[in-house]
Amino acid sequence: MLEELINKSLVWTDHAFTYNLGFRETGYKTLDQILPGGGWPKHGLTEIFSERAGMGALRLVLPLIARMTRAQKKVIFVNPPYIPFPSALSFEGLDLSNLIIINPPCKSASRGQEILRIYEDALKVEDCSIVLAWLSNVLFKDSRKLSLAALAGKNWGVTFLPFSAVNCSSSSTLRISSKILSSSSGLRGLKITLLKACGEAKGKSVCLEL
Amino acid sequence: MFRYMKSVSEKRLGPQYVVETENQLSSTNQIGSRLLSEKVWFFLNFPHFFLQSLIKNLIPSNPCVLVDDGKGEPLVLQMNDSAKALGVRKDMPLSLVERLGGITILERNKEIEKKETDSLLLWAGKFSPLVVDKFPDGLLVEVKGSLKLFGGQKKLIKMMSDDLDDWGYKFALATGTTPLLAEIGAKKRRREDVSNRLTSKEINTVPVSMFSFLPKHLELLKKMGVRTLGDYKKLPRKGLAERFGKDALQQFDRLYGYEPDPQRFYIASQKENISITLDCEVEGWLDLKPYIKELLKKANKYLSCKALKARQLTWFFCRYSSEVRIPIFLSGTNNISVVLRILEEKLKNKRFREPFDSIRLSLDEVENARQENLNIFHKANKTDTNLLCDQFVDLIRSRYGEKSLYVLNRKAEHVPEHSFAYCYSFDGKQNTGCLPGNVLPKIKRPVWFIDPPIRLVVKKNKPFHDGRELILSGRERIVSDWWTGAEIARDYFVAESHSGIILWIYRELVSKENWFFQGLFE
Repeated sequence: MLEELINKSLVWTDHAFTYNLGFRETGYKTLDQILPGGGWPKHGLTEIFSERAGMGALRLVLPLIARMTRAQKKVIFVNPPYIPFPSALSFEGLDLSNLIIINPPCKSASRGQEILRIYEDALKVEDCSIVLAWLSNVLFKDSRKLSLAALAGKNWGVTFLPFSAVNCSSSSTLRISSKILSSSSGLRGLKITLLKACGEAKGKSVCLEL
Repeated sequence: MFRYMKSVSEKRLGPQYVVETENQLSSTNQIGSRLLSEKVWFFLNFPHFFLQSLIKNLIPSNPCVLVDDGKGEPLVLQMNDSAKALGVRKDMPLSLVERLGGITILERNKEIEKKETDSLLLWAGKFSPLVVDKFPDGLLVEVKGSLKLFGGQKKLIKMMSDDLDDWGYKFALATGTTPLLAEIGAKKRRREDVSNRLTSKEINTVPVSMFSFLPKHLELLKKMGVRTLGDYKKLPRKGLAERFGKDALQQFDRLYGYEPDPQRFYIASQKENISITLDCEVEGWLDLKPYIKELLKKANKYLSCKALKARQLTWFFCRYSSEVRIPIFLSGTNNISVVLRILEEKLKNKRFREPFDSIRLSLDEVENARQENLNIFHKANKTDTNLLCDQFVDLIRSRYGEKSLYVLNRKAEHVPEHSFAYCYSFDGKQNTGCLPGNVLPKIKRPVWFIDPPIRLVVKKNKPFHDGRELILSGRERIVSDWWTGAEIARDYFVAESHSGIILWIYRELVSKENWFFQGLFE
């Protein structure tokens, strides 16, 4: 019975071997080394915190998105902060025909709830692979709903959040912070820290060159 | 004398029989070795179909009779088992039935019969394109080509049976290697023994009355002591041909697949409007839902049978002359079950001014369904709550409008804002003038594009962002559209802000003080 609960990710165990959802390489070897299992999870929810758009957070997942779209898997962007520039995405190797962008036009007070609803529905889509959503905040109950939706649809949900939301509780299996590092030599880097992860990976950090 | 041999392929396709005559046996051995048609026919027999079309949703234990309003007094045309048990017989005058009392009397309605017939034929088209209209007896389907698709004969029979059970039909289903074998099987068997074909012994026990003999021939056979097909096959072939004609013999040969049995397959009419009249006036979503489901089933049947997919449909909720119109745009599908969810979202909390008495569904835009090849490891959509991508697209578009969801295509243009196009259709077709996916750009561009561009603060001809001066590098000049008079001339720079963000900014060449922020690198 316990095994069944663990398989369904209903029991949190502090051991890397129990993290059994399957992984995909990130495209950054140094990042693979610190992530539990050696890559991005295939299913479930991941939260990436960064100061704002353009701080390198999307770059972390672009190599995987490019691979998935080229493999004819659908990738959905929910509420991106700006228009994803097709020339840049093609340059990164994305197959644009498999990238669906959703930007609901509503500007009402309930827009945040509508975005969450779309995100949840997108995570339940069966023949999709990755859903990325840009949100300002996620409550614990919402993150639980999103996690369950991602597991039901066997999709990987990536939530981009500002640092202001980092103290909120979340049921995501993986929480990451990304910060821009600028050196005096002009080289740009990205410091990745695992805020929450299975097993012993929590707290590990790595610097990626951009 | 006939001799019946079981063919070698019995295990795979069930028993098949080769008919040989005594005269032919010695000279034409090739007949004996000739395998019969390997087709798989399903016959669905609907006992007293006219009556069923009217009472399929009523309690079956209640005695019901169907009367046909002929020239004189209405006569009983069909009756259910309960009425039969009370002594009602075919062609019994209506006045006599009324005297028995406690029997529901229904008048024949040819319009409903036609509707039900079409509906069942369309439904059968879901399983195979080779459907034969044999009503009022039932329908015949050749399913050999569909068996693999539906996971085998047993699964297919179960699917069909489940559908018909849901609709409340009483039926018998039998399979056979020839249409006649399946038909006789279905008429002979009861519902509970539907799964197998007739065995050789069973064929022999089938009464001759079930075979399509003329009444005078049946009478003659009765006088000759021929009761079953087994008795009939013992008779000399030559004598049978002389006495009953070649047609009867031909039918007999067709039964065993000894001769081909050509069939006229059903072709669905080009109807595009499906409507339903409600039993009572309804206004809330919960009351409407069963009727909407019913209409969707019909529409699905129609689309599957005609190999079409719907791109646009409109719901009409009517009362007398007034109607409420709800159009729904789809990305092209022949399984429009997602429409139920879309409608539910639209109607759940809506209060209508007055209740409806009929609903109409119009398939406004249909197109030929392209047959998609499934992946070898393709998994069917098993859960009810999860959607497929196409269904999700339809749901979002119906919820937030067509332009809420899009795919971007690249265009062969230098000016950044003209270098891409929004594509709102998800059928794999690109907008005209778009670049194919295999043409890759040579210059790195920012991941985020800002439209319209944001004007930057300029101090002493230097652009500022977040209150700090931007550090510029890599100038790129883009000049275009000078031939149209609406010239675009810009110098683009990659600029790093104080906070470490890399921006893509430009200065207009016409007015060098105009700096804009148009992109954001990741």
